[in-house]
Amino acid sequence: MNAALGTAGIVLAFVASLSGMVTVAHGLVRRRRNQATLMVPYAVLGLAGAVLAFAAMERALIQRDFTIRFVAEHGSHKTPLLFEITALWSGLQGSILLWGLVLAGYIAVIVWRFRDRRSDPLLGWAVVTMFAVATFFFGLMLGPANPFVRFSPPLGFDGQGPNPLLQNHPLMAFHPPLLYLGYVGFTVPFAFAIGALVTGRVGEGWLVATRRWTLFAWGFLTAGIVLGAWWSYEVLGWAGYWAWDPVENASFLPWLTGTAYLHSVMIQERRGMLRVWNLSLLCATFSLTILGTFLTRSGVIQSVHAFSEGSIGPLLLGFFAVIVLVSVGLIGWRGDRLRSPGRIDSPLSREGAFLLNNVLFAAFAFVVLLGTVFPLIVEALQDRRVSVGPQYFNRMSMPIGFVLLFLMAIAPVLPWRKASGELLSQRLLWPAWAAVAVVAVAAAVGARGFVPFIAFALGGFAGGAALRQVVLATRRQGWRGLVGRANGGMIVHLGVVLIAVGMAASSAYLRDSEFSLAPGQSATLGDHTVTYLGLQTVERSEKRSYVAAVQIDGGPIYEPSINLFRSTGQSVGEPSVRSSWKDDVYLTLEQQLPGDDGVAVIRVIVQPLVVWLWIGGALMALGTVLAAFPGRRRRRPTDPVSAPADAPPASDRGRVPAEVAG
Amino acid sequence: MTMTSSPGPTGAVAKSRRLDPDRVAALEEERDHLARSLGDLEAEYAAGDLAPEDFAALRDDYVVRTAAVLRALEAQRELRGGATRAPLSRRLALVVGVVVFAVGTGVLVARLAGTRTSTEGLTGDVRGSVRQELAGCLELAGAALRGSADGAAAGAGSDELLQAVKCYSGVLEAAPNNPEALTYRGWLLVRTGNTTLQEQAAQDLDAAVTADPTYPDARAFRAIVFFRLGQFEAAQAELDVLDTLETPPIIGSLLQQFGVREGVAAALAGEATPPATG
Repeated sequence: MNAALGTAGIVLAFVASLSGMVTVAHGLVRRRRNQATLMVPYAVLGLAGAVLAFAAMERALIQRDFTIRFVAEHGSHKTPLLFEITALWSGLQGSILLWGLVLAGYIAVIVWRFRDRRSDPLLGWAVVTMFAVATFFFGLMLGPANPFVRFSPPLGFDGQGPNPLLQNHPLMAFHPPLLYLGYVGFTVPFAFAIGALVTGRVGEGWLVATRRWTLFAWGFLTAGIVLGAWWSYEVLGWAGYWAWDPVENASFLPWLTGTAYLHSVMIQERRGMLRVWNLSLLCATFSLTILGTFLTRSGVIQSVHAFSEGSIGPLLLGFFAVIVLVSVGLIGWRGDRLRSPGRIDSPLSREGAFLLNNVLFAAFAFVVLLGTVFPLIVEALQDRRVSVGPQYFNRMSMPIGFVLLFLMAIAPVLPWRKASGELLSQRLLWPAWAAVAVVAVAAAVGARGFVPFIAFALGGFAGGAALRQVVLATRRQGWRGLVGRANGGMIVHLGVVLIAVGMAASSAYLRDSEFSLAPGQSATLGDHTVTYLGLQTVERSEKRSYVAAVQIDGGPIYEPSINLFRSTGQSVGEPSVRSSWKDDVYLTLEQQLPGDDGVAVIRVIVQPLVVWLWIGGALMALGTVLAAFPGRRRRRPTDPVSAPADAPPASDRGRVPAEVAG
Repeated sequence: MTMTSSPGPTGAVAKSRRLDPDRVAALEEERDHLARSLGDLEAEYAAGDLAPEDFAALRDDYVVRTAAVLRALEAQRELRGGATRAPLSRRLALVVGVVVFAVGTGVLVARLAGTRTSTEGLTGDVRGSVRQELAGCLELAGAALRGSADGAAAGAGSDELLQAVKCYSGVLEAAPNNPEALTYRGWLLVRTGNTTLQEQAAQDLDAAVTADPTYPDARAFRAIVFFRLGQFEAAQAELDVLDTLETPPIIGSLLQQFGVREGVAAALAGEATPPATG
């Protein structure tokens, strides 16, 4: 029943997407506008199919319907309901199904949102592009990524459930869907970019139409990445949040190009410049989401030869190649129309800073991409298995990150077109004092080391600049000073600063030690004393847990544990963390059973300012939401940050050219 | 035939001296529409649906509008021609900069890349706990021992065995008294069949028993080693301790595979010992 319903849903979504693509494209080519407006029923049918397939799979998982192979492989009677539901995205086929559902949802929302422009060819080609992407993914579900393949379970069969690491924390319920909302969300601006290229309307109109969609996709991706880091910290037991592993890199790459785009698009909106660059960034961002899916879902991570054993790897790689070729071809075709009449007047201007920011983000993306695919290239060419360690990524990303922090301080105070030294020194006074204050506080609390101090100083500088903008805006506009792209963007900057400072402090001043402790015995690490109180065994349906009771600094009791999952026999450590604004005390139980003397091995890791990472992530999400709200329309260049350095007096402001006023 | 009113094309161009691709696209659409309408008009005239004077008036109107659109398009093309391109020297500097950066990054990644073991990922690093590293080592050891067993002779699959030994040595650097790491490093060294490594193997197994006398795996491996060396009393002592512990079934199977219990019992009873297998 579930398999039949699910398969019917996928077939419906596939046929609707394919028919929608062909019908709308035919209508656009033949200039039959009524045909192009048929996008609505196809979008609705596609969404209905995707919802049906998704619901059927969830129902099968909840019912433990082992006649479906995916459920047999990822479900279990022993798995709690929440993780049985989230098991859908713990395997390849379920992930593709989630991708399809999110994409179908985006298509339906776009068609509804732009219902008044259904006969607009640009929208039509954008929807055709989205239908094409949906056709590919639903096609995968009918082929190599079919989630509803049948299975004949032997009598009394019970599955193994999802990987134990994926059923150890509720964050698993949120992190992948948010990541997918981000990944798939970039299909929308990409589709509009293709629409603009096909119709030749590569001006600024489509940018404005998709601005908020890009922001939402970026916001979801950011939230997904931060929650992924949090999950890694809370579950994996290594007290880290970022390891530069290929899966993390796959999500970080589109984030980098997406972030570059969010900045450079402002130059195009204000000055009409960087059209090719912006289109390239959008196409690159979408391509990188597909490349990331290929990297994480094709088996290529295990071995470069593994991906060719299944058909999904070559298909994803082929789709990636098609996207790149189509994008490059269209940009080349419209190259003449994409040439900008303007140029950057001075490097010391808002657009100059944004351009440098873009160069750095692009370089960062190149560094991460090269590091990620380098082992694959070497293995393919020389059949040698190599690994690129964190040293490469850290060595390359640190200087780029520092310059980006510096630009985060400078760019918001720079006016468009050009700036004078006097203006800069006046506007950078507060941020400079903020940098000095942060460094002084760090030195006073005993922080040492050149690199962390650079990070603190630049963090203070950038944070001061962002805070200055927020204060000025709220003074001028009241609560409206917190909303709108520029103001919300400053909140995002504050979040980035908190994350940068948190990363610098937690990695530079980490203390890590293992202690063999008998019950009642204490150990000291840094300023903290941990006392081991004893160990108990807790039986649950899906696992047996060995739970240690550990008191930190004579306060509350924390319980790191080792969980032995019955279905797989795999044991997974579950850390316990005491978080405070100052530092985290991270506990893991290293030895499963104490000996006769009751000794247990407890690993204690003390890291300062880790909680700032999560606060920074929340601020970034909040800033994104605020940026999506429409801010005050700027009719005149009254905002000091947008006025040219040599702005005329207030009485003459009405005569400032439109392109300067933005 | 459809008739649509069009915005004044020339006026729009006059408003702004910037190239406007949206405007160009709209003008091209208008031009195509007017051309199609002219075609339709002629077809209708040929079919006798229009009087000659109406046809002339309508055609003149279309021609005038088409001419205006074409002029507006030409004006846009002139603006496009005025679009500036960066000087050659700047473009060359950009290309050189990109190439230098790409090559530099490539050299750095090649220099910092290292050999990947089967427990490592393509990129990055997780600062693993001893427990996680042990789990990775156990996976390696399992594969190596299976390879060794498949190869029938001791020493087969020795590369894998040594890789697993290296993995446990890494764990022992962080936790020198870890009984699991000591036990399995010792056992893997035994399984290499390399005589020069047997002393180290015995030391590891002794250290493992000292670190945790209740660890059944260490007792079982020592029993096998003593049995194979003909030290039957020592082997029996290990088996006696093992019988008091909660022994995983796999350890029982291993002892059976090597014929340890029967062999030791026979030897101690003064019977001929069956040859050790496994």
